[in-house]
Amino acid sequence: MRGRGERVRRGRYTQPWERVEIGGKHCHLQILHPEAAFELEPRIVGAAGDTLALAIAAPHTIAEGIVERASRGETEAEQEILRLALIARTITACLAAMRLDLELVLEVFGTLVLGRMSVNGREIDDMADWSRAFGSSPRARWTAIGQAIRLTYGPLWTRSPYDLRAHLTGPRRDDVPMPPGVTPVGMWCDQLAAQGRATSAREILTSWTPVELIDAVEALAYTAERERRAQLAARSES
Amino acid sequence: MTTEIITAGRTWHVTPLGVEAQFEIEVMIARVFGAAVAYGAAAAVEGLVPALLVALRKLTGEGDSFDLAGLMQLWEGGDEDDDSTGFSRDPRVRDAWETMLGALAETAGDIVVRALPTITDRLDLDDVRRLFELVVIRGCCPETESHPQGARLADWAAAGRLLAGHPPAAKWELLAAALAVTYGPGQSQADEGEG
Repeated sequence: MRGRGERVRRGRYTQPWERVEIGGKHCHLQILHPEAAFELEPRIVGAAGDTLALAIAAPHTIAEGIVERASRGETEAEQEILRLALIARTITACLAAMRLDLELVLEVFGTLVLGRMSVNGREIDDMADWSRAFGSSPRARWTAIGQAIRLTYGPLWTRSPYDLRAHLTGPRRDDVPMPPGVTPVGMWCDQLAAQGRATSAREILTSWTPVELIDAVEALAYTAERERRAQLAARSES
Repeated sequence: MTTEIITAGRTWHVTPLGVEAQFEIEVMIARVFGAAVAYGAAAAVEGLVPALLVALRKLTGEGDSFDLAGLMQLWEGGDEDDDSTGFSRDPRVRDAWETMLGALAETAGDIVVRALPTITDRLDLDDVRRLFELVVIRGCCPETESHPQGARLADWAAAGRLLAGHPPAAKWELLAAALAVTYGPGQSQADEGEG
């Protein structure tokens, strides 16, 4: 994990870039690599609260829930009012639950934005670059953080909540101690590399997106589960 | 690049805050004003959707007031477990939601910026000390007879000497004016051209 304001070695990561608009400027943001993404994810969810985290990453999911609830109103006017009330209640609950911590904010900004953003082709590698491009606009800074979270975590948080996926990349639950220095993400990457999906675990951690890794890990997990069930079935038949 | 302000009987050359200091102040404000910002933002939704007030009047007859709390309580009685109706895919509602989120970001930003000059009565002593240190001690260079071009305040004692003899409000005026150099209207523009 990089420290604050530290310059990034370009070319270290190869995740895709996405076009976004921040502070009225056309910008490009790069999706975070899985190693840092999985390290930051529980802390971001913890600081923002799960509803706000989802609202940042996938506002459509929240909107659809509100529309669905509001559709139970009997008249069109009642549905409109329910929609308004739900939006207001969601906003209040989200912001009231937020627990911001300066160290985390700086780490998120330093990891998700600095070194992973360009404005009109000019790279934003440190705080000075940021100030030159955006001045002191708080809106631009917080929008950039929100956009970066959306790009990296949106597809993950839409497909399944953090808690549901945590067991795939979090601590193992089979009481087998992890070898020292091996993270759960690293363990999965080692398995994928051993299967020939990549030349090394390092390649996965630096070049795959978090979504690609989760896809592969879920596929592995489902394969293992299918094999386990097949073995159980064969055993019971015999 | 500094900005000149005149307060407490002298000219001060103020340097805009760095990005880290800005984050620190915004996190401080979010902590102190979090609930107020939340409720302010929720109230702002009412202003964002004036058409809904018309709908409300249709529903409630001649009522002019908008009882958001009452409506929210009304909804509390709904069936939370019934999710059998499926999700709406109406793109108009999605558009409205995104517009609302964008407007909310703007509203919350304005609340934060406007709160800064009046922040002092809501912060505890440690926060005030930290704010004064970030903004005045580190960022304000007073013009003195020995330093007409302005040199940074060395410490709290130096600030105390310069503010001695002025009314207590002078230090708050200096703090607010110095904050406005970073956060005030028109101060958040970038040096570069537009994208």
